[in-house]
Amino acid sequence: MEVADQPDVVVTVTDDDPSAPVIALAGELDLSSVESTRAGIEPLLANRPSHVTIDLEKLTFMDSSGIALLVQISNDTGHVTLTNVAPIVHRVLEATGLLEHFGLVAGS
Amino acid sequence: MKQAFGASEESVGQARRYVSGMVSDLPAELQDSVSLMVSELATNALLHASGGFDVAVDRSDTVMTVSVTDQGGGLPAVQSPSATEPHGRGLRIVESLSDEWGITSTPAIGKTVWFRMSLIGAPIGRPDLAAVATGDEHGNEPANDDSSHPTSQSTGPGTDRVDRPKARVDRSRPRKASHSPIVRSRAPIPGKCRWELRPTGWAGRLGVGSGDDADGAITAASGLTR
Repeated sequence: MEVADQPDVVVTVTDDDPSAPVIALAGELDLSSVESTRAGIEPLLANRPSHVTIDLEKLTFMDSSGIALLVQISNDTGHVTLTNVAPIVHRVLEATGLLEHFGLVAGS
Repeated sequence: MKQAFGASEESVGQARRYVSGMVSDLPAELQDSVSLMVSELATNALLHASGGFDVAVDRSDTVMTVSVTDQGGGLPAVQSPSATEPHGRGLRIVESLSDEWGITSTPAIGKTVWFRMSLIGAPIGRPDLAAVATGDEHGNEPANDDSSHPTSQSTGPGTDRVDRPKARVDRSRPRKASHSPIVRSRAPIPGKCRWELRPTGWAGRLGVGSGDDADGAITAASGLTR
């Protein structure tokens, strides 16, 4: 089920379990795409799931704007697990000391 | 090489791609770091200044410097947000990933935030960068390392250069100039940051605004960046 198709980031639900949705992001997440990405994700979190999995396999770039979004999702829900994290995304998580904050798993 | 970018959010990606085009021959990790830092500095310029920004890239065989200039006032500062605070990580990323970075501010005109990367044996240099990144959670506390900062005791904020003939304060540190300007090993945080304030008018004559990196500008500018 494709929820939002923005020019920069595509938000896709790969598992619509309301208590533990899996959301895939594709594209480049920065200042120009973060609000549209947020708009695509927020409806999926309406039930305040205790666990959200975000698949970043096709997210080719993310900076602190994207980090802000992930932190907010983490704050609004119970826990966020990131899967298939690309090296550049891993790098920014590492640089900000947030690798521990998010649960990272290699595969989805 | 220098290019101007407009005051739109799309400029962040455009600036990234502009610089990426000049580092495509470098190791992937170095490319990633440069892209991230350009993105952060471009984002800061758009969020905290009015108008667009300029990106300048100066690359030699051994070192690369990227500068982002905007017309905004104030001095950006490295912050230490908690894990649940969404914002405040832009300059932290630059602090963590760069070999050296700094700020040149000219009140009423604008500021330039720059970072520098060593290109000497770039793959060999990666462990040093990794050490910087993993050590970053130590935060931005003022370094207690006067012994390694021979100039720090004489460069407190607003206390020096009062009789300087020119209304310009150059903060370049002798310790940087005495050897290679490239910092490859991990510097005491926030020792990687150099900042330079160029006061004009009365501020310049009084020496207002001068100071060492953690002592003056960063404290004074707290909250200006994200």
